[in-house]
Amino acid sequence: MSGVMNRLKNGLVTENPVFVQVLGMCPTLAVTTSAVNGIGMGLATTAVLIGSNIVISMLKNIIPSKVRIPAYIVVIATFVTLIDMLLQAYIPSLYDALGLFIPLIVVNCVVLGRAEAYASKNSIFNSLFDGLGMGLGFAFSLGCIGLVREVFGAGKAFGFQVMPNFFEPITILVLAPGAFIVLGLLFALFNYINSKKAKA
Amino acid sequence: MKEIIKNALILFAITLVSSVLLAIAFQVTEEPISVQKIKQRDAAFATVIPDATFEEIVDLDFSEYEKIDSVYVAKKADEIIGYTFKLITNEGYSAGIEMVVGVSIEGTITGIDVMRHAETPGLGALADEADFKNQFVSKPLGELSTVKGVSSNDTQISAISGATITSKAVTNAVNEAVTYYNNELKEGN
Amino acid sequence: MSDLFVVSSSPHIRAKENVSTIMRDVVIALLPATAFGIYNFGFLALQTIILCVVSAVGFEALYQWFTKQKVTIGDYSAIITGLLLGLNLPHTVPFWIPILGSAFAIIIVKQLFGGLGQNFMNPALGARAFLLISFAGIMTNWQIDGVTTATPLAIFKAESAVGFTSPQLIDLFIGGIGGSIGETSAIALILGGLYLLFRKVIDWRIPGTYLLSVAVMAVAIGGNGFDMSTILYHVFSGGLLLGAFFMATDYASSPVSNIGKIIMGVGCGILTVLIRLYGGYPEGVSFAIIIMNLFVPLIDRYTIPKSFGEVAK
Repeated sequence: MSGVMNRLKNGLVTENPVFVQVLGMCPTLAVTTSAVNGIGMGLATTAVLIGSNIVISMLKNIIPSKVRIPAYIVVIATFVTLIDMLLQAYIPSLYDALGLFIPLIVVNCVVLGRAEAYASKNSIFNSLFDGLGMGLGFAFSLGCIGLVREVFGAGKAFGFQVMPNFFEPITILVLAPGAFIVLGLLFALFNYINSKKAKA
Repeated sequence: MKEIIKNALILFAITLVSSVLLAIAFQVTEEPISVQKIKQRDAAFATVIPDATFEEIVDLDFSEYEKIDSVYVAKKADEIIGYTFKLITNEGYSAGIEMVVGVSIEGTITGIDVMRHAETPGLGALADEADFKNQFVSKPLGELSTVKGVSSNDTQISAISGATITSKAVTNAVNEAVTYYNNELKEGN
Repeated sequence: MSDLFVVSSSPHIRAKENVSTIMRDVVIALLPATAFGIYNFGFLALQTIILCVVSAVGFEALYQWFTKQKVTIGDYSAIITGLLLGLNLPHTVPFWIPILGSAFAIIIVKQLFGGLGQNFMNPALGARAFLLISFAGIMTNWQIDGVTTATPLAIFKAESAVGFTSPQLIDLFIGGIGGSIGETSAIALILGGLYLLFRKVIDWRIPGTYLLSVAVMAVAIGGNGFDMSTILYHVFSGGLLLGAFFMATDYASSPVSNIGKIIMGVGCGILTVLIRLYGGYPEGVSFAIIIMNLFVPLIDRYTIPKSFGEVAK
């Protein structure tokens, strides 16, 4: 059981894909215009990660090392396409917001990175929780960025007005430059917290 | 040589399994997806012409109307009450703006709705807000133009401040739908 | 003994100028434009400028105190950032705009990148772009004597500003027109610019080539051919003179070599006119300078003078 907690903590904090590994920057910057979009993208990626990690861990003794990258990509692309169709059929509102970016999960370095660095060397069970941990870490980070951008850039949180009426939304934060500014500031914050922890 | 063949076969097996899986998933989701699409479309149509059923008019020639994607006839109790136009305009600030325009046979615009857009949040994106869209409601079927500031008569649409380009793009698309209606669909033509 | 003789390793020739004397000269050079802005727009302009300066200095002190650095607000640089920001705002802005702008300029653009001399773009311009994109409505609320006007450039741009007439060239030159506080009076800005050139605080290359290339571009794509009034409109209106003399010449974010300065000036000029005529915003000076700021490291890299005596590789 400690292995499970360990994998989850690893994904959420120690090796957080966004704030520590700086992977998957394309969706991180592009879809985090609101908390819901960020978390939705994160959860879609989580689903792909869990699926691909399990399958790749299962096939780790079958896939020859020379063709492993194309094999991984085929597996990942299959899961992405599945998610794409399922979202379109059953959660159309989320599909509307993320539609364009879902195919991009295929090339998200987090997914391929975990396949190569973890799932291809570890047991199915651990790989499942590694995928879950990494995915939740990704969803958490995207949610944070999305929430900050939504609150200050649109005065809303999860779609509800939270800022008082006199608050004038800082529109730039929901535009492309705002993604970089918020990401940079959150990087700084996380590094600050980590350095405090390291000293303590 | 043997290794190459073995590798290729394994990779082939993996792709084969994936394709089978995807084919099955496609079969399963095909119907719900098309149902969702129609639901979405009807939801948008209902905002411009409420309580009606819609039916696409096929085999129309849009070669002179590049923004019109499709035209639907709106019926209430088997009687034609108007038409809805699905339009896609590329005159906006960002990628195509997808919108719906409703026209009633009594000669007014019943309303417009923006279905999909990528306009600037806080500026062009305001085109999807009621303040802007409601201006089109009950406008006569003539050429509309955008003005800065308050509109002074019913052929004018007050542009969103800071987003003249988006306002113009939407208004032009509405104009095209109205022109098409006047030229091709109106009774007596 | 005078300060000129100091026993130490090279450099041996020293001048009395240091950061604060240079910065003081810049403040002096900005005085005519500031004074005219206050005269033209009244008490609100004064209030906006004071808010900008005080909050810029305040944020600098606060940040340096918070990060346990030496507090260097005595070097005038935060004052200039605040003053330039104030001159770049319309006088109608609500009180929190100057404060938010100063915070962005000082903390994000300047201090987070290492403080004085390390900023990769002009802090005041960075803040102006931030505010303009975020609050387009507030930031373009130009009024003169309580009446909303369009700036000459907005009128130039399009039929969209129907009902406004272009101001006379002479008004543009003296400054009795709508616009940001410090950018309306061409004559006051030119006076300040000449003072800086005379005191050798700035080099003629950036402002000179900047203004010249704007004029050339105005002839080339301005639509009226070689028409003196088109050229003068482009050169005298908007924030061009303010930008060319005071912001494109920022030491930290402009090239070092002479040829680099010329590239910077020409680049700014071309971009300014392109944005004015084809961009989404009526004024292109701030964006043009910011974009060229980002190219400065690249320009510097490719314009390093050949070192003497080096053997060709």
